Amino acid sequence: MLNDNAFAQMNRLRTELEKVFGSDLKNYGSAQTFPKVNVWEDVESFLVEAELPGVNFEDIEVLVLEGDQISIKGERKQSEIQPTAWIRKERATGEFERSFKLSSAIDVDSVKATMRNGVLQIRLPKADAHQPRKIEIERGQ
Amino acid sequence: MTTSALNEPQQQLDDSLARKHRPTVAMFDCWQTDTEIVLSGDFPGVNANELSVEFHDQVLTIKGANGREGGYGRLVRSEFERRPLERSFRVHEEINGDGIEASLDNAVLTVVLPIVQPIAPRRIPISAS
Repeated sequence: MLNDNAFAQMNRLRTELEKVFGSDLKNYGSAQTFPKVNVWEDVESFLVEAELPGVNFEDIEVLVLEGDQISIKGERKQSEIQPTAWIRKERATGEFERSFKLSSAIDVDSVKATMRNGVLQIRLPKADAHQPRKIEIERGQ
Repeated sequence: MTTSALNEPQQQLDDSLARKHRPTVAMFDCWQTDTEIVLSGDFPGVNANELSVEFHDQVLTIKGANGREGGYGRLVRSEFERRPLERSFRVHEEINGDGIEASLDNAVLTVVLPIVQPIAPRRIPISAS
């Protein structure tokens, strides 16, 4: 049975920053990671999606650190139930925190986060210097 | 060095194996009070109109379609896929089918199954003649 500090215990092994590049593409995370996160990248930005069912809007904090690290932290609260008997408890509660280092610096002022149907989506535009810039080729003499 | 050229064949292989269409198990809490059995499960990314809840022959079946979004560029880290979510439970109490309620709040589906209460014994008065 899971206790209130389940997330802290599960995520303790992941306290070091997780590098996005260099890890296996399909890293399904252990069954216990919370929240599960996908990271997408295109030329201009990153998109981080995190599954956070049952977590209230006001209990989530998204932080951008040092220009290229993103952290999602918060708490999934235990609902106040007084059951006669528990039959099954699979949904962990408690505090959680996950951090990722992205491969490019981010334009912090343009980061946008939205939450819909329990999925948090964070769009992180890359800092200008990290976007590909087309170089004009000059014709030599 | 970009690794996308190496990863694309793998993604095509995964798609062709249709792994992404196999349903995933939804995580649930279940508990019981004196009058009802309550089940509460995570369905992230699912709209209420994509969920079906059925109760038949003592089995509760919950299915959630999960529309595939994506097209956000290259997938760099993948810990979850948008797959259909399913779960079935066999219920061991007698349930009042008409009173079953289901609600979706913040991507958590809660299903309440009222337990048929035993009818209290009725004392029959004896009339003496």
